[in-house]
Order: sequence, then structure tokens, then C-alpha cells
Amino acid sequence: MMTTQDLLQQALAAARAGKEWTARDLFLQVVEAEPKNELAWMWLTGLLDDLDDRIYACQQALGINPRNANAQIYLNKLLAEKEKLAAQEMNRYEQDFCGAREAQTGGQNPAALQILRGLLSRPQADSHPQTWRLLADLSPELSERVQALERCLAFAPQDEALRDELKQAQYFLTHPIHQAELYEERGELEKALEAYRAIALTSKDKKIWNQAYAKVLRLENAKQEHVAHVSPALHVARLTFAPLLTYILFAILHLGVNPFAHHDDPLTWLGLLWVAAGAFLVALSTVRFHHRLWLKIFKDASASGAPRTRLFLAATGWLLILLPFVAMFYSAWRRLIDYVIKLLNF
Amino acid sequence: MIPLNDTEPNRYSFFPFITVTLIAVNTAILIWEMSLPQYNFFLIAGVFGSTPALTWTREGGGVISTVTSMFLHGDWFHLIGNMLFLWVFGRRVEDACGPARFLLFYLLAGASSDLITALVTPGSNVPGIGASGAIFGVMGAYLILFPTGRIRTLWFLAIIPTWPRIRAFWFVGYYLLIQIPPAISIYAQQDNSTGIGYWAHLGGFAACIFIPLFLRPEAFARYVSDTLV
Repeated sequence: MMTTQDLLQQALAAARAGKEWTARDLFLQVVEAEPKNELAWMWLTGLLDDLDDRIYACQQALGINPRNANAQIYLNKLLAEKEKLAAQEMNRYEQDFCGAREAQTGGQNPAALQILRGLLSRPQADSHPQTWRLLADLSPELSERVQALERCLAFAPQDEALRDELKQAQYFLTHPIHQAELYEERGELEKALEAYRAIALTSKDKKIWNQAYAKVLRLENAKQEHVAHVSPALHVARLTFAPLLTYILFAILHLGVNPFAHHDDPLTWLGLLWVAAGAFLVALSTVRFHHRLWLKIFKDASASGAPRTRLFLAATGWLLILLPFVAMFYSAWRRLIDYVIKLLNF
Repeated sequence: MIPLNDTEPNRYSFFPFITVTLIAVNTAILIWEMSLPQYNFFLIAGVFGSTPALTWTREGGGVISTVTSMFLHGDWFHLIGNMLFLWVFGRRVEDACGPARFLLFYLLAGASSDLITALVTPGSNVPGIGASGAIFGVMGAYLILFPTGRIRTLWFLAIIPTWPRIRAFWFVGYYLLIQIPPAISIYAQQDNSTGIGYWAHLGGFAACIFIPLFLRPEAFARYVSDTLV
């Protein structure tokens, strides 16, 4: 049976004879049997192929003998080399990333995505938040988007906007139809169509299938007929104004046509504010208006109103609208009673 | 020229809930009116109709009269005429607005007809009743939204009945034009002996300019894109 010393002698002989592979294997057997063998580690720093392995061997030699000046010098050299290589790799990575960004700005999102997905397999991706951010922006797959946003958040855990975005993406992962509706609201018809089609293809629930299929038909028609995208803010504004206008007309009739002739009914005019507030809420519940306020106020991750939130808003809105109308009708009722009494007396 | 039906289909909804409800309520109210013992049409019209002079003096039912007058009719002929127009033009306007906003628009048109009547004939003590003001608003809305829509119309060529499909702009345009001469005459004489609220019709029609505010988002997008609403 061979001792460690015999193995070391054989390894040294092999190394001096230029048989590098044999020598490396023998030195590896030596450090396996005797991990504190400084000489074997020192030889391995020169015989191993991989840069990281050679650095490891140097560190082991220095661990055994911290005064080993040669090992220290060689370690410094190896570390500098590693740093240089890493910088070169990073440069190459950055160049590829710029390629992805250029593809994105050139409107070639699939090409950009392909480059980005290739970059993810490289170790540099772990220290490059921009890659994940761009992936989150471009990826049509929600699960990939969620993963990318999670990585982004790991880089900036204090970023509240990012946290909200992640919460929203996680919500859309379980409610894909809302995601499609969001695209529709933004006027991204192609994306919306794609999302609705995907839902229709994968859905097992007949109700959701019907809903998605109807949306696909509707959007295809709209696309064919070149229906313009109207900003949700404009919808909210005009739908808010509609009940307000009705109330103003009713108030004018109720207050004697000339609203400046009498100043004894401030409540009726105060009702304008109520109607405006109510009409705004109803309009907001009608239009898919994507805004962070939904998340902030209602803790609604969809950020454009989940059905329950919308229902709540619509109910509150209609109640607010109705109250001033009811107050006006009550005042009219009392006036009518007086008038009927006057008529009967006459 | 009697409208029979709108020949185009609905786009957004299957059933014109508010249009049918309005027809049912108007009919029920007339039946109720007529079932009253010692039915006094003038008393009911005086209390629940909309009287311009009372509007100015802030007497009477105020806004209640504005609403109740829209649901009162003098007789079956008056009711059937109005309801036929409401059915023909209301169905698709409601479809484009959605039920709640259509009801609001209907009330707005009714209020507008009262307001114009009160402004043009401020001294009139004749109470106005009938849904025609609001229905003219609905007709105007139809004209704005579906100007080329085809209305199946009963037309008598001498004594021979025909029922061609007439474009909405011809049909509504005709009914609008025939309101103008008597309306001018009423304004000039400050007296309406015809028993028909021509200014109420024109006032209701004026409200149609606000119809874009009441459209459902998709219908509005189609309207601004100049495609079929």
C-alpha cells in the first residue's frame, strides 16, 4: 500500500517529466488524503485548468501557511486575471443587453426577448437589474414577468412602485382576463386580442370562455372598423358631466328658471357637488381606468378595479347622485302640497 | 308617416329594458287615470302637468311636475302615438347608452323641453303633459347616432298603405321641420291654442346635442371614429 509521501514523490516525478495530467491526478489524490499538504496545493495552483480552481488551491496553500509569499503573489495575480476576465465578460454582456434594448426600441420585441432570455443563463444576469426590468416590460408571459419583477425587487427592496407592480402582476397571474382588459384600456388592441385568445384557448370555465370569445369578436370588429382608442380620462370626464347636467336642468326648473333671482335654496346648489362626486364614482366604476390609486385606496391589486370594488363604487356613486335628487323632490313635494291646498281652497 | 320599426339590430344588449319599462309605466298611468272615479283630466293635468307660469313663480310641483308631466297622457291616441315613437327610436339609443344613462338622458330631454317651453312662453298657464318632449330628444339622439338608420314607416299613397324603409335623417328631419312654423307662430302670438307643445318638442330635440355624454364607452369610441355606433 502506497503512503501519501510515495504519492507525492510520484506526483513530483511526473510533474518534472512533463506529464501534467498524471501529476495533477496524483496531487489531487495527495490533497484528498492529506488536505494540509502545502506543497501539493502549491503544485496544483499551476496544474489545474480552471481559474477558480487555481485560486482555490492558492487560498488553501495560504490557509496552511499564511507566510507563503509565492502563494500570495500568485493569488494576487490570479485574482487580477479573474477581475479582468470578469470585466471582459461584463462588457460582452452589456453589449448583448444593448442589442436587446435596440431591438426593443426598433419595435422587434420577440428578438429582444430572445436575446434577454439568452442573457439570463449567464452569471452576470444576477448582478444586472436592467436585464430583469426589461424582461418584465417585454415578456408576454405573466409567470416570467412575475419572476423578473421579483428579481428586480430583490435589487431594490425599498421601491414601493415596484412592489405595487409585482403585486399587480401576481394578481393578473390569477386573473388573466383583467390583464387583457388593461391592454384594451391602453389601446393596445393586438396585445389585448392575444391575451383574450390565450384565455379562450386555455379556459376550462365555460363562462370565462364565453366572455373571452365575445371580447375577441368585439375587438376584431373594432380593429376591422378602425375604431379609435379613446382615453379613459375623457370617458370619466364626460360620464361625470352627464348626471351633473341633468341635475342642473332639474335645479333650474325647480328654482324658477332664473337661478340668480332667488338665493334661498343653497342646498339645491350644494347638491351639485354631491352629484358631481357620485357621477365621478359611477364613471370610474364604468370605465376601466388603470391607476395606482385603486391599489392605494382600495388595496385593489388589479389597479383598475376588481369587480367587487367597482360594484361598491357604483353603488356609492348612485347613492350620492340620488340623494340630492331626493332632497329636491322632497322640497317639490312640499310645494305641491301647498299648491293643492291653495287650489282646493280656491 | 307613422314609424313602425327600426330595422337595424342592437349591438350591445339584447333587451331594451328602460324603453319597455317606460312604455309600460306610461300605459299603466293612463289606465290608472281613467280608472279614477269621476276622472277629472283637467285637475290631474293642472297639478301634475308642467305649467310655464308656475315654473317661473316657483309654485306647483316644481321638479315633480317636470317628471310627472312626462308620464301623463290625455287619451289613448296620445299615448299610443308617443309610445310607438319611443319604441322605434328608443331601442337603439338605449342600446348605445346603457339602461341607466338612457333613463337619465330621457329625463334630461324631458326637463329640456319644459325649460324651453317656460322660456318661450313664460306667461302660459296651459299645463303641458306627454312624453313627446323627451321622445323628441330620443329621436334627435337617434339622428346623431344613426343618421342613416332605416325606419320602417307606414305611408299612405292616397288610400293605399305602403311601408318603405326610410332613412332616419329624412324621417326625423321631416318631423323636426313640421314643428317649426307652428312654434314660430306660438312665439309670435304668445298663445298656444293648438293643444300641442311644439316648443316642448323643439326643446326636447335640443337636448340631443348632449347625447355623446351619455354613451357607453365603446359606443362613444365608435361615434368619434365615425363608424357605425
